[in-house]
Amino acid sequence: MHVEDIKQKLKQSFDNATDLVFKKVTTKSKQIVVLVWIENIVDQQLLAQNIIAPLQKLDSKDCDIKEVLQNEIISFGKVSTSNSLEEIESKLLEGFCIIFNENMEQFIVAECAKWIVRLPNEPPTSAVLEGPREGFVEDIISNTTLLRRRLKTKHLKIEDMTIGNETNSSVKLIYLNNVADPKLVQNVKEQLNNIVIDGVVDSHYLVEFLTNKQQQIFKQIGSTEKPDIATAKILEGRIAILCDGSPIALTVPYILLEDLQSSNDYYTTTTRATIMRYLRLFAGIIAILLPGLYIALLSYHLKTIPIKLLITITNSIQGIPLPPFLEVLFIIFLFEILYEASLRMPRYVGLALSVVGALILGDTAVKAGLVSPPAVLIVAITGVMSYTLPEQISQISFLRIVFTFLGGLLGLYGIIIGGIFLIGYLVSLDSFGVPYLAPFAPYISSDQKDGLTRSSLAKMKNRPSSIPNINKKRQ
Amino acid sequence: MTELTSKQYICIVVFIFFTSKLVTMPSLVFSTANNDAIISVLINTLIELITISLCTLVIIRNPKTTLFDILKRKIGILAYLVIGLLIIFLLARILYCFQELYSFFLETLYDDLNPYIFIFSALCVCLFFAFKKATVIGRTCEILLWFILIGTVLSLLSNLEYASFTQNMPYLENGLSPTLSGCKDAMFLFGTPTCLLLLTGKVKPNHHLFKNTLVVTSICVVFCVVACFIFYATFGNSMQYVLFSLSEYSQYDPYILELQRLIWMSAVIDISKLFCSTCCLMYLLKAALVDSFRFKSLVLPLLTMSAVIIIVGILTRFDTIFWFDLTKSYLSYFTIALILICQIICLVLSIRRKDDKTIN
Repeated sequence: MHVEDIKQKLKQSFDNATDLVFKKVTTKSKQIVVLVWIENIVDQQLLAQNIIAPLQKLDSKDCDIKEVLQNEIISFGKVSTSNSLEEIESKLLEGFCIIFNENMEQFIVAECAKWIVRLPNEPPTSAVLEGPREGFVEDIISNTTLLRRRLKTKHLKIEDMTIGNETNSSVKLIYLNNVADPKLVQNVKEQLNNIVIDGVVDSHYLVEFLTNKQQQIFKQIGSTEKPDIATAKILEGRIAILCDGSPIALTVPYILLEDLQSSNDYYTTTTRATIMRYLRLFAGIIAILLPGLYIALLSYHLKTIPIKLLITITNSIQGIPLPPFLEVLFIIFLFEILYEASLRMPRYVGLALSVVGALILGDTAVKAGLVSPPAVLIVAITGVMSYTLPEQISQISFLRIVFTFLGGLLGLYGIIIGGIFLIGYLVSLDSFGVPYLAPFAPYISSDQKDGLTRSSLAKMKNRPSSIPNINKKRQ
Repeated sequence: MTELTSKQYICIVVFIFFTSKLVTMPSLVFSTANNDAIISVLINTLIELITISLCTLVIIRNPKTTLFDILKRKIGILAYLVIGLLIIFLLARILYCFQELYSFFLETLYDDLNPYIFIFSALCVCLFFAFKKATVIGRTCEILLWFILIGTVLSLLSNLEYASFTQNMPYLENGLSPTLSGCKDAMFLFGTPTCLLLLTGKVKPNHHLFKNTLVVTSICVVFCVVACFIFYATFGNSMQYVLFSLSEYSQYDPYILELQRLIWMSAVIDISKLFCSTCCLMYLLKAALVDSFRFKSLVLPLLTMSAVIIIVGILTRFDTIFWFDLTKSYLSYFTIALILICQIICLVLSIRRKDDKTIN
C-alpha cells in the first residue's frame, strides 16, 4: 500500500477539503501509521487517547500492526477492514477514522463519530400533562436507542438504508417482525428504495415519495416526535421510519382517527379520554364549518336564526362597510397572516406579535367599524378550536376558507355540497391500502374499542383490524 | 379493495329505499288515495321489500359477474334492452331527485335559487362519486347513515304531539280502487330498488347478507309506514297540499312556531339524504354504462348523460306539478313494467343449479 498515493487520491476525491485530516503516527519501533479522519465529526479526544497514544507506545518491531490495532488497541465502537477506496470515502463521511500503513493490505476502519446531539427533551409540539416527556432528537442512533429501550424484544426489526445521492442520509425502518404485515413492510421498503433524490434533509422529504397522489389535502403519513407514541404505533403493526437529522419519526399506514387520539388519552381515565375525543371531533367540525355557516345563515337564511340572536347580530353589524362574507374572509386572512408571522418571528417577538394581533388589531378593527364583534368572535373561536387537532391545522385552515366561500356564494346548499364532497373525498383516500376513515368507513366494530370511544386497555385484547398485521392477539 | 362489503351494501339499500320516500311520496299518494294512502304505502313498500330481496339473492349468487354479463349469457342481445330500460329509469330518477332537491330548497331555505347554478353544482358532486369506485359510495353511505337516521327520527318525533291518529279513518271507505290507484301513481318512487341489480358482481357477500338485508329492509318498511302514518295524522286532508312533508311541519302547523327556526335542521338532513341517494343513482348509472357498453373512458358517456339531465331539468324548470303529473302517468306505467321484468329476471337468475357452489 503506497501511503502517498492513497493520500493523494483521498485529497483529490475530497477536493483538497481543509477538514480532512491526515496524521502520521510514529511508533516506538519507528513504524509509521497514517490516520485519516474528518475534523469535527470524530471524537478527537477518543482518537488521541485510545488510538494515537497506544500506537505511539507500541515498540514491538515484528508485530502485525493491523492485528494489534483490531484486537488490542481499538476497544470501542465498530472496527472493520476494507480495501475499497470508495468504501472508505463514505466511511470517512460517516465519522469513521481510517488507519493504514505501508505494510497493510487493507484499511482499518474504526468508528469514532461524534455528532452534536441535543438532549431528548419534551417536544414543544406534543406536550403532555402526564406521561413520558422524552422526545426524538436529530441523531438517528439516539432515536433508535429510545425505541429499543421501550421495545425490549428480539422481534424488533431495524433495517438500514441510505437515501440521498449527496446527503447519504441514514434511514431506518423499524417494526415488529411478528406483528407487522410482511406485504406492508415490502411495500414500504420498495417505495423507499425507489426514491431518487440528491438529499434528504428531514424525514418530511420522504413523505412526498411515500404518498401515492402528490396533490393531497390531507396527510397520509403519520408523524410523531415522541418515542412512546411511535412505540404504541409499532405495537399496533405500523412501521416507523427514522431519518438521520430529523426529530420526526414517520409512521405508516396512517388513518384520520390517529389525529383524534392523543397520547394523553392513554395516561388518563377512559371516560375522560372518550369525552376529549368527541370534543376534538366536534371542535374540528366547528373549526371548519362555523364561518361558512355564519355567513350562510346571515346572507341567505335569516329566518332560521332565533330572533333574539338575530337582533344582537344585526345591531353589531350595523354600519360595517363590508358584507358578512368579505368581513369574515378579511378576518380569516388576518388570522392566517398573524399565525404565519408568529411562527416565523423569534419567540419573544412572536409573543408580542400575538398580543398585538389579538388585542390591538382585533379591538381596533372593531372600534374603527371595519369588522363586527360577532365576526371576530366566530373566527377566534374557530382558530382556537382548530388547535385541538394540531396535526391537521393546515388542512382545517384550508377547508375553513373553502367552506367560507361555499357558504358565502351558495348558502347552506353550498355547505351541504361541500360536506358531501369532503366526505366522499375522505373515504376515497387510503394510506398503504388502509382506508383513511377506518374504522368508521368501512365500519369495523372490533376497532371501536379504541375509536372515538376508548375502552380500557384490559379490554383491548386484539390489535386493530384496520391496520394490517399478522398477529391479532395483543394479550 | 374495490368490492362493497355486506355492511356497505345494506347501507346503500337503506339510502336507495329512503330516496324520496319521506320527502314527496306521502303527499303524492294522498292526492290519489286520500284516507287509504297508508294502505297504498304499505303495499308499495312490501313490493319494494320483495324487489330488494330478489336483487340481493341475485347479487349473492353472482359475486363475480356483472348483471350485463349474466343477462348476455341468458338472453343474448335482449340484455341491452334491459340495461337500456334501467338507464332510462335511472336518468328519470336522478332528474326527479334533482327536481325534489331544487323545490325543497325553494320551499325551505331559499327565496330564490338560480337553477343553473344548482344543477351544475349538484351534478359536479354526483359526477365526483360516479367516477369513484363502489367502495367510495358504500363508505359515504356508512358515514352519513347514522346522522340521517337520527335526524329523521328526531324530525318525526318533534311533531308527534300534534298528530291526531283518528282523523284519517275510516279506511277502505270507497273499496280498494283508491288504494290501488295510489299504489299505481306512486310506483315510480318505489321502483328504485330494481337498480340495485346493477351492483351484481360488485358486492363481497357474507353468509348473513340475505338475512341482514331482509331484516334491515323490513325495519325500513315499518319505519316508512309509521312515518307516513304520522304525516297523515298530523296534516290530515291538507296533506295533498304539503309537497315536502317532512320539512313543512312548522310552516303548516301554527302551534310549533318555535320549530320554524329549526327547519334548517330537518332540511339539511333531508337534503343530505337526497344528495347521497342521487350520488348512489349516478354511480349505478355509471356502472350500467361501464358494464354493458365497455367504455374505455367514462368522460364522454357521463358528460352526455349529464347534458341530458341539464337540458331536461332546465326545460322543465324543475316544475313540481309537471313532475307530479309525469310520475302519476307515464313514469308509473314504465316503472311497473320495469319492476315486473326485473323481478322475473331475478327469479330466473336466483334459481340454484345443482353444480353451483356459490355462497348461501
